Amino acid sequence: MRIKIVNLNKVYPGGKKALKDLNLEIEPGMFGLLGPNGAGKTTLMRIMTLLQSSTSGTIFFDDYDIAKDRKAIRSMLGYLPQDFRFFEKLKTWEFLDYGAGLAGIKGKQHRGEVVDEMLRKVGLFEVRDRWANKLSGGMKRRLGIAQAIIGNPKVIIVDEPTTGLDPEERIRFRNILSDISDKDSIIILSTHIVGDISSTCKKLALLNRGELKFEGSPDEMIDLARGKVWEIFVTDQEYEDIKEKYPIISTIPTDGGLEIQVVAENIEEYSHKAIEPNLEHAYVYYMDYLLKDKMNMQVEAIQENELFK
Amino acid sequence: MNIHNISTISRYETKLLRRSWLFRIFAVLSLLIIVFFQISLQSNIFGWYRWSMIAMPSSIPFVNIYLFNIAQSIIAIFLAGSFLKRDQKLDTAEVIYVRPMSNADYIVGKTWGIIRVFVSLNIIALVIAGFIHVFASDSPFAFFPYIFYLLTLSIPSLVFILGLSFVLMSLVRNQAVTFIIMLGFIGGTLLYLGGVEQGTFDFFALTVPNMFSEVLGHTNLTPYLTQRFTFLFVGMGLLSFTIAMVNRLPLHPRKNILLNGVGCIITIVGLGCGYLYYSTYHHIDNQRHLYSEKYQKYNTSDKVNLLNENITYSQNSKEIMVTAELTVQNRNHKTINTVLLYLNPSLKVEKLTSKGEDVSFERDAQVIVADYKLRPYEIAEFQISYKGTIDENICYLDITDEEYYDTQNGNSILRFGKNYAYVLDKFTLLTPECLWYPTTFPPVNPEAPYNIRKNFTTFSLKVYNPEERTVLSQGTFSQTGDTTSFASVDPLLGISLAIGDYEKKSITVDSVQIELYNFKGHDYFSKEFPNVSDTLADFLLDIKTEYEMRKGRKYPFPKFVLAETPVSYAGYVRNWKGNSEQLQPEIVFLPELAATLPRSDFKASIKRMKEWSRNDPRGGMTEDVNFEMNTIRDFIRSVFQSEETYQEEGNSFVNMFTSGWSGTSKLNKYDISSMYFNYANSIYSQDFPIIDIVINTMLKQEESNPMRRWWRMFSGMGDSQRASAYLNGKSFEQAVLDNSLSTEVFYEMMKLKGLYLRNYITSRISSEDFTKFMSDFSKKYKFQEVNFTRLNNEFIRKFHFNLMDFIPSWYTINTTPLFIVKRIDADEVTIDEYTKYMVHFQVYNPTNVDGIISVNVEQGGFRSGPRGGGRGRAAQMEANPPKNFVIGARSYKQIKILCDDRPSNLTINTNIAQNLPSDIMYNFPKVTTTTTDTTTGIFEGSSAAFAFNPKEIIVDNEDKGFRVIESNQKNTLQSLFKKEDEDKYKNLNFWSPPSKWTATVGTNYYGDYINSAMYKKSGSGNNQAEWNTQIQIPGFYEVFVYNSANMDRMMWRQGEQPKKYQYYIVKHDDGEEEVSIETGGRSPSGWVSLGSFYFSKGDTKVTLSDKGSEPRQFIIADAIKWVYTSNNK
Repeated sequence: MRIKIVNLNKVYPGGKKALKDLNLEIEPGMFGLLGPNGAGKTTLMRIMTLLQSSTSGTIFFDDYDIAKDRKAIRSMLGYLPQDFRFFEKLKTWEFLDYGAGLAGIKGKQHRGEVVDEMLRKVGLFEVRDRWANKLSGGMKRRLGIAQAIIGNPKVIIVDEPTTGLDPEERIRFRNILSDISDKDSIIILSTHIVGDISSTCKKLALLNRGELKFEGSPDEMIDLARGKVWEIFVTDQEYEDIKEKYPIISTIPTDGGLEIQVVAENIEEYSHKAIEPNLEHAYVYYMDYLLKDKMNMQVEAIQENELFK
Repeated sequence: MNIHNISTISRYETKLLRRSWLFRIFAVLSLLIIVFFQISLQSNIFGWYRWSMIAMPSSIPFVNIYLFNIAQSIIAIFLAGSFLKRDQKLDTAEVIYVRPMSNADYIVGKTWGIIRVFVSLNIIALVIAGFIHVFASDSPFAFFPYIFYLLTLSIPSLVFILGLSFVLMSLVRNQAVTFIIMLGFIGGTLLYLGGVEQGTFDFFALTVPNMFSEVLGHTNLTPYLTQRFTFLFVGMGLLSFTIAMVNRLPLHPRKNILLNGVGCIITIVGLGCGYLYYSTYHHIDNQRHLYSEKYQKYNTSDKVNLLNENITYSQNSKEIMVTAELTVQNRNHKTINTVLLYLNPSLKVEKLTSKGEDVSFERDAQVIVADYKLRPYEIAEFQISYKGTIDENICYLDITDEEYYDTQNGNSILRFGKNYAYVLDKFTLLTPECLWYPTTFPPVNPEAPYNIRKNFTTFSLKVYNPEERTVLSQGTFSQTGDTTSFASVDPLLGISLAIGDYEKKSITVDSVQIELYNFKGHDYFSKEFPNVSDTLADFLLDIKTEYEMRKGRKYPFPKFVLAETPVSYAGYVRNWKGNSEQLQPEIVFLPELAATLPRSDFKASIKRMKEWSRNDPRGGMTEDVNFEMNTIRDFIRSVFQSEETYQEEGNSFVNMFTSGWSGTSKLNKYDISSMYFNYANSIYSQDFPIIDIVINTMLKQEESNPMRRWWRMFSGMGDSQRASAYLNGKSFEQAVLDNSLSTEVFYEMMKLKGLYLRNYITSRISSEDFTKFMSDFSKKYKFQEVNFTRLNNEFIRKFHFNLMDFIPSWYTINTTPLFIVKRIDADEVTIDEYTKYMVHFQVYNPTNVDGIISVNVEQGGFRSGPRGGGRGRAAQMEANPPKNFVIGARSYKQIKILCDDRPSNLTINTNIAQNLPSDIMYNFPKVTTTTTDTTTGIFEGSSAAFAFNPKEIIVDNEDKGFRVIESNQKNTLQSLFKKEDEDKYKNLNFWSPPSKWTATVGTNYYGDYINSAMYKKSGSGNNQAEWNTQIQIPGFYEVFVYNSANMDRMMWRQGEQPKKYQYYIVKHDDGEEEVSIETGGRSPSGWVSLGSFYFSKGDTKVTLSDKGSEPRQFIIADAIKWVYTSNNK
């Protein structure tokens, strides 16, 4: 299975361009879609899941074209949206059973077995008879991924899956995703939480303002930031000064001052040393220096989000 | 579409719906309401049911589905809006939408899920109804209607309302707006759309006849199913559009075009069904119009009289084959070249011969124009053979479309449908109305209904091979082989034929053979009367004798047949005829299982009577036979001997939510008086064609039901008052051609005019002489059509006065008089050592037309009322018939009447006058004065009694000085549905008095010639009534208020009542004073003093507050009087 995005454009009524000539190829395995809020990740995923149409361009799932072969493509898809809740008055197993039925699993008994197996897999078997909307946040996410993967879809699209989860649940969720990615399927993970991608994805793409800005492995992205991440020890007075000059990634108070990490092309003042970058550092470096795009896009993002609804 | 997907979606939609609290609450509430309604009105648990609500086996399932249908539609529109919204709101749709099902799978699955839940609930409701039906009701049980109504009534409505709601929700995308629009649509259908174009737009099918006859099955199957398919297909079409409008990419880009195309096709099929349904009635309209034109075309052609007709009838399924031999006579004074015959337009004439030779003829719809020359008074014989089916559209062409298409029985929700003739394997019914045999006079004149000729003919009828079925017709019955024959003893106005699977019961009463034919299995009544068989003949004889004494006629036919007909057999009482087609000479056609007849639930009647008897402290009847006989008597009186029958009317839903009095009296279709009068005699007048029916109506009148007459005095505008009001501006001649007048109002007008004619005659000759003359005349010319000139000539010979001196003005006068009556009193007078009483009063007719008053004095201290006194009053009136006095235009008269006994009540009936109510009543107190004047009769009166007296000023609620002050201007639901032509005066509404000042009339109120008052429910005091006047002579005046005898002390609210007060404020020279006056209960009626006050010259007023002393008290504003007492300050 391969996904090929060809010249994909999406213009919303009102003229807002959400995707601009996007070209991308996705191979089996876990694929990360990274980008700030409003970068076009959700639009891309909604087009991929056939929840909305593109303005031009297309996406191929192998040879299936989203403009023509919707039934075939839908039968390959599993999807977990970002803001996903449940019907009231459906039990955990029933919700999964509903999804399994729609995924084409026939026969009550067979479907029951598949559902139970899936519940065990995501650790929800014990709560199978609990109302789905009474589950905890982590359980709900697990149930969400369970319904997305039931029926063995070849493409699983997961939007911001770990937002709001505690570290334990986040790890548990990542592990579930990792288990699935062993098979010959594509898992597309859209997130702005860089840690999710660094720990699971072999490849990633960075979207910004509807355009593809980077495509490659996490290591390739990290390499770009090597020698650009610094650890500095500063006093409180210096800290105020340095905050104006560089993007600060972390701040740790110590005796007599602060130990901070910043991204910068070069640092000559202060007491500093270069440290080994991670994906988060690379992302910040990429956004602030290579794209010259500050991360304070909050206002625009809000506006975009409203358009997307 | 993928069945697996649909099934999955529907399964979970069902689950979600069943678990929704909203739905659960709805389900429980609906079931409770339906069960409560059915237990109350259709079970025998409380005994509140009406027989008409349970007589037919389909009644209980129909009512169940009828109510459920409305309830489910309301919740369905809510759910329809919420299911789309629910998915969108929770983002849940996205995980569903990415699944590989099609949009069609999704919407169909959702819809099917909702339908499954509602159908399950519907089945639960039906099972409960079935339990009530079998274990707690007397309704005969049939299973099929349960399935039929579920499939044809409930499901199409649900599909339609879901489709419409989905489409609307998809377009509007706002659940609240969708809900409100749909709720408005449902309300509009219930209150208005249902009645448009015979239910074409009524998706509930509430207005489409939909009941089963046990004999024939569904009474209106094809139109009903066509109507249901309309909404089923349109609903399915709308669902297709919904699929195309779902906010999800279709599986194939062009699929939405296909879906819209399919939606259009299905919707067009549905609309096509709707058009078929509509065109059924459109076709009827066209046919009725065509046939009316044909009658009109030949209206002025000379007709021949049909003397004799021998009919030979056979039937093959729905086709009849008839040969008729006719003997006709040309009674015109000139030769005619064509003989006109009238025959049902669907019957094809095969041959027309005379003396063995073919007669050439032309067919023009129902008219056969035969080329045959007949000289004056020449007689000819024709033989005519024809066959075919019966076109019912020829029937009742004179009936207005509104009435013709109205299928409602009162305000009942059960509609039985309307058929006017049947030619079926199971049942045949043919009456003269459908022209099943040739006649020479048209049976109806749609252009001028009263201008109709009655043709008495001697009939004979042979029916071949009825195949085990019983044949009913007029005349002497005989049977030879497989041929049943009837030969009429006397000439009749028409002949009817009924063939059915009947069983017969018969009894001879006073040499009249009484025969009862009910369909096999429909004898629900015999078991209720096990004890009457020995005494039944004598008992019926008593009833017959008493009735005939009251009518002054003997039953004119040798037999009296009661025959059951399918429940859909319909007819109308027509004033020009005096009866309905249910009533034929010798035969009354009764509805199936007596479903629509009053007092026909004999079991319940006997039970109720026994309960009353047990609870009667004076000790009631104990013998079963007495209960049974009383039940039979009540039935006969209500069904056959009553000219009117009470019927609730209006829109069932408006009535349910308003407190308006919506009942009315309808003319009784089964009143047998026409057998004694209209079917036995006929008087023809070319100039005054209505004279026949007026005389018959006049002759069959007896003193009206005393209870009803008494009630009418207090109950606003009755039909009689409406008729009287009509005649003050228009003439009787105009009324005859006025289609806008209701049957009932016109009937009252005929009664008034007939009575007026009688009163005019009996003001010159005695009532006994007139009655005897008419009785002798009727006997002499029984079963003949007689010219009015002959009647008048015989009248002149006997009484030496010419009716034609009066009748032209009686017919054309277009104003009415009014009478003001004053100084009613009685004195003792001694004549030949006997103490007698002289009743006298002054009457003034200020108008320019003469009028007649009829005066009746009740004697012996008897006080009339509704309880027990009715018969006594009727008996008194029989012994002392009212005295009639002509009061000339602008004349003052004094009337003096001598009574043997102490007078108790005086009733002055103003006949046709502007007086409201038409009766003036006076209760005499103890007589204390004496006189020596013994002259009686009518004398010149004094104008002084009627002159204005500045020392006694009266302001009535009808006067200019009176006004009401209303604070509450809001409209009620009832006022939204108020008819434009509603009467000014309303019935006194005891149970729910109006919140606004409302005018009412009654003899208990003060008035010159309109005895009226304004009344309302007690309020906070913000609404007032005000009497204003000008004082001309300053001084002390005693101020009186007219305290109207309140109904509650006379009728229902007897026993201990809390005292009630009304609060008046008198404005006088020293300020204002509030005076409370006790009202209702045991308070005195008439003028009651508010006190004595000093008034200077100028304006003054008395104000009545609506605050009252009790909640829901009546506040009545009538009249105030200022009486000058002295000038000492």
